[in-house]
Amino acid sequence: MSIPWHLYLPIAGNSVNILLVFGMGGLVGLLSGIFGVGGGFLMTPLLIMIGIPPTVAAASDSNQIVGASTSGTIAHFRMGNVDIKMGLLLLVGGVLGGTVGVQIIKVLNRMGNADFLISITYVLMLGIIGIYMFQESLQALRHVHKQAAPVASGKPSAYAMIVQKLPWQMMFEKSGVRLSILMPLILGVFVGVLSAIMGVGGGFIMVPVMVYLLRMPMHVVVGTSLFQILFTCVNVTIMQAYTNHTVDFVLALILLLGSTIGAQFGVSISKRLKADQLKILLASLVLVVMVKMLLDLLLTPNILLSYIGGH
Amino acid sequence: MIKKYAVMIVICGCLALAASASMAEEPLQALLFPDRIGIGTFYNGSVVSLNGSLPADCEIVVRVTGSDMHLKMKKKGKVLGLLWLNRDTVNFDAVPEAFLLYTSGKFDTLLDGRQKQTPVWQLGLTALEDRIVVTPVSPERSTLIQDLLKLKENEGFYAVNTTGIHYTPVSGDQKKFDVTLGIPPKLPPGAYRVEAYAVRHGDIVSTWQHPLTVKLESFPKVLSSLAFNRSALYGILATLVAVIAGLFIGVFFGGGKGGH
Repeated sequence: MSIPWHLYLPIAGNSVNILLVFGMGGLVGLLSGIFGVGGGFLMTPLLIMIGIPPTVAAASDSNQIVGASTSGTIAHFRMGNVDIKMGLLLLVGGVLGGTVGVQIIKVLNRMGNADFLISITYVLMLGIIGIYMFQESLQALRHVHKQAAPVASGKPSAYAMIVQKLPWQMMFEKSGVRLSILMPLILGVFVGVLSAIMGVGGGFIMVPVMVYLLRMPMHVVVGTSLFQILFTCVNVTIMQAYTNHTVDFVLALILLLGSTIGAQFGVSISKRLKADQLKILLASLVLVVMVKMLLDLLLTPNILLSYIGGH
Repeated sequence: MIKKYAVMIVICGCLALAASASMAEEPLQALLFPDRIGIGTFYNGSVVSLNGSLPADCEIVVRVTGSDMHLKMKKKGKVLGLLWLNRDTVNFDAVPEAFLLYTSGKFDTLLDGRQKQTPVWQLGLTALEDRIVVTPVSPERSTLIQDLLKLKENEGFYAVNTTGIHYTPVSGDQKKFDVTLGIPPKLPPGAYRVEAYAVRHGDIVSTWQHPLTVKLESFPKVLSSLAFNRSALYGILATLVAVIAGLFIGVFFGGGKGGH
């Protein structure tokens, strides 16, 4: 008797090879474990490639992230790597921004410009983040650039001066930074708007925002980002299941198992790599995705038609 | 008396017509097995067998078709003369949910050199170009329909198969046929129709059809019912299961960082 490797997913309306989905989860988990940032922007396109409808792929990925970020948040919390104060402020901002973003998409959908905004936002965000991280890590590896520390240097940057002048300054002990509470709130709104527009969890935007704009140490960034993403994805999963019926939790469970095992290997690989090597690898990955998206926009497509609601 | 003869002549005429009609409809006999497909937990598409007999000088054409549907789609266009993005909305009507065609050779050879619009040509995939309605009316109608057919073929809902039909010669003027119909896993649950046509020199000489039902059963049925009929409960359960799985994995792996 042969082992049934295929599983029918009634929400996705298709049959998938269990090993293939498990392997995809493992691959994305490996990358997440190495870089400590999201797999949403990789997992969704991979699922679409194996025949999962885009809306089901995105929603089920959110469901998978709930499980992955639960174990991740607890592990980081035990190690003291979660800045709950910062995470909650980012979360409040993120929820507000997400609501604003959904309304922007609704208005633009009516005007017929939503796809344009989504595509351009993706390419610009991936391009800016990827190039900036790549450049910075390259300079650090070449030892020609001293670690950016504008507050410690003789003359603070314009950005640091603005940040210092903002009202309601507060000490974030876990992160070791003193900031106005407006900063995480505003940046949370910004990431929330972008997440809603781009339809992703926001991890790959949140991490650079925390590192470069909130000046948080890398180990706290990963834990706090996971904490914030856990709640965002709980909300997204319930909303998507209720309104669009697009959450396939069987698919999510297989991905979760694969990504967790992949993440274990990823973490052990990341321990052997230097922070700048990690950053340059992540930057390369982000730039590859950006170039792929840019080519999709520039090259004449094979089929000019697409279903409404698809990516 | 004359009236009586007239009635008899009319009755004889009707009988003669009925007899000639039954002679024109040459026998095509077929059996579909199974005619119900259950989508269970490990379902990965299915195979249905159609076998029977037809006149020895005929070819068999088999179609699996679904009900007609309406599709609202986006058409990509160039923005700023540079970027390809979804722009206009296009509506398609009378689009069959499935269209799987089985022939024993290239479909065009069945037309026997005859032109479009013949009854046999109407059986083919290209005939859908005439049938599908596109709104708003567009000068690009033909290109749009061809793109739609290409998209449906890529998804596996439309296909033309030239293998899978086997003939066995038998004595007399009949031959046996055996067709293996591959049902793709993506074909949604619903009512479909299997049609068989005996074709000779570009003409349809006999037809046969039978319903084919595809339905969810066991675990997929329970899950689908929960997701569509009790969606709030399903959403909460999906979240709880993920959280519990995350906690379990955290304990099992000693608290991995987990991807997000």
